Amino acid sequence: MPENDFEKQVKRLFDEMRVNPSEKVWPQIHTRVKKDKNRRRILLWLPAAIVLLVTGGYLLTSTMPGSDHHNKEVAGNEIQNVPAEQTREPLSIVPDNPGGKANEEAVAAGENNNQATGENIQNKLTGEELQSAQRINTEKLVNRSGIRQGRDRNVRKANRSASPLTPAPIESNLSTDETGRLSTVQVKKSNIPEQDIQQSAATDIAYEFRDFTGAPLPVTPFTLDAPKTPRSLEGYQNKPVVKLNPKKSWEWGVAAGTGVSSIHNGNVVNILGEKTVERANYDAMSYNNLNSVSGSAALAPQTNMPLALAPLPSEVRRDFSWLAGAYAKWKFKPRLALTGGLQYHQYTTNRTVGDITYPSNANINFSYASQQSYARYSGSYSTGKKYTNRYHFIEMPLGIDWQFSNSRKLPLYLNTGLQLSYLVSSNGIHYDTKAGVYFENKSYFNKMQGGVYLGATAKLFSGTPYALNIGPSVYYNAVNLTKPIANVKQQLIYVGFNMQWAIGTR
Amino acid sequence: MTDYQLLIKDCLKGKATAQQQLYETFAEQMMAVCYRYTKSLADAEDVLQEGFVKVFRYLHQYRQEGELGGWIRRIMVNTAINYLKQNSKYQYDLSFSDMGGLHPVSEDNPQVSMQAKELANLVRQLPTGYQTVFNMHAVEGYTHVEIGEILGINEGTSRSQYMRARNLLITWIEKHSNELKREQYAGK
Repeated sequence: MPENDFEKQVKRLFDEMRVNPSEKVWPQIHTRVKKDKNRRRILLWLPAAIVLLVTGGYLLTSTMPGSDHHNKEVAGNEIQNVPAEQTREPLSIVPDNPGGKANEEAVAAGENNNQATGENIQNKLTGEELQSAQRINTEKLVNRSGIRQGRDRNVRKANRSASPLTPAPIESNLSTDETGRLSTVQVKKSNIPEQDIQQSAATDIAYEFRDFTGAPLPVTPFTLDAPKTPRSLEGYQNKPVVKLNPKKSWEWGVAAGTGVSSIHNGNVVNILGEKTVERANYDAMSYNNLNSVSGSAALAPQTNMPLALAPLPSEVRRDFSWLAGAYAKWKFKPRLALTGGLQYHQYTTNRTVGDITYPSNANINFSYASQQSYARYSGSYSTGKKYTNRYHFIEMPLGIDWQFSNSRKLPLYLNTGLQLSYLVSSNGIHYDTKAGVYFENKSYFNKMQGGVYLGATAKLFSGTPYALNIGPSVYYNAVNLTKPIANVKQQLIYVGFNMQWAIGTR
Repeated sequence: MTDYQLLIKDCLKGKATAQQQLYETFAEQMMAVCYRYTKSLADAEDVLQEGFVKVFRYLHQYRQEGELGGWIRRIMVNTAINYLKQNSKYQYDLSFSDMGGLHPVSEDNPQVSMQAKELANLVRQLPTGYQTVFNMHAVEGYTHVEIGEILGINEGTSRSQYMRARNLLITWIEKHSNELKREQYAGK
């Protein structure tokens, strides 16, 4: 007997094997496929909804009364002709203006409109299938030549519904010749009506035992006597067990988020953000001015009048922030995944400023001479306008996701990690405590930034290729936003809702 | 456009009739695959259901280069293996024992004188690890290296598991044949 003949026989037998599933399987598949379709439709609309939300939020914040529309025109150092009457206001202490404040769709179970199935498709399919069936039948069926060309669906369904859920018992017949040798290995489905066999000939095997003369052999049922508890085989239980490796997988997709950002002055106590970041400098400057002449207020050299103090720096208020980008995730343990990405993030804050003062007050006494050529606004904001500081970052987060809930339907994750970021551009203004003006100076910013993030997410649509991770997230920028020359500690904070939508897995 | 291409196109459009047609065309064949990998009919139907949901979900990825039946069959096999890995009642049984060496190769190649389903019932009585490796190698044609990668075991372990499964099956088949012969004689 040729080598691997056993395998060939087994493969041939199993390739031709057919088992009839129960009637309940298709309705369940149909229901799940329909649910899948609805879910995918929702997921396809979700990014559009997020984009609309972000755009809407952006437009809303930029068109609010007192927004920086006017300021934006000035921000690019292109201010040339400012009327003189709008320029210098007397410096005086003005009380701070408080300013503006701020699934699955249920699918009807069991819907099965199978009665109106496509007959055309049915008939077209059966041609090729029947050809293969004919081959099988020619080899295995004796005296069966009437294979019907094409299956009649109704008859087939009727037969199936008439039969039990499990396949009909099949009788096998074995016989021996005079020497006791097995004669043939043909088995016949004996209790299936002729019509049914013809109907299902395309998918079922039929065997029949016959002797050498071709006459049918008598039916002799047998029972199998295979061991019921194979685990008790000698030596099987005592072997060391090798566990299966956890499944490793990749996931990638788009990331987005929206929330609020604010400035923190580096003081751990004021974790929610410091509203007057320049206040310490201002206080120091005021003290020096007031005490420059032996304890009394400093006097102007010609008028001999006390020098007016610069206005208090205005509050830096929280404002809208959003991000969008892409991410990739590598699940290296069943509950742990490394995640990284690349995203654009816009942080915004706002504060109240006075009128535009450049260039008519170029001779004012700045703390730093280098600030003189930049656009600036009066520190006196009795006629204050809202100025929005925008910081445009490209960020690269890298962290770990830890699944802390066992739920299959709604797994929960903790996310934490580091984030490198690069400040692409900003229109943020600084406050000069000596001159009492706000001014722009891009060179004051540290371009390279870094920080930590912490978040929690819930995985929606788990188990589908379009899973959606969504949840709250906090990011703290550990690097000072400004260089030491600005003499101010400013760290950006972002608090919001982030989402990651998987569009591919491997 | 062939009938299958037309059917796939209709399935991708979301036509329920076409999906049902696709299911009915392959259900019995795929049920046989699921039946061989599991221990009960209910589990086999679970795998079949899961497998067909995946088929309809990823049908757009089918490139129509190979046979549709072969593509669906691969999905069924993968689904069955994942089912065994995830289902707690198969967990212990699926743990593979490292034999520390190759099991002696049986040179027996007996004539398999039984129906496919009877043979499948014998295969299902093997421990799940043996059963899985036997099905993957003897029927699906995976190499032991591939089986090792898919199941996360050594190539040697796969080979050893297979040989043990094969020897057990041959023993059972021979025993079965002898009993049949005895019954035949007794009947005469």
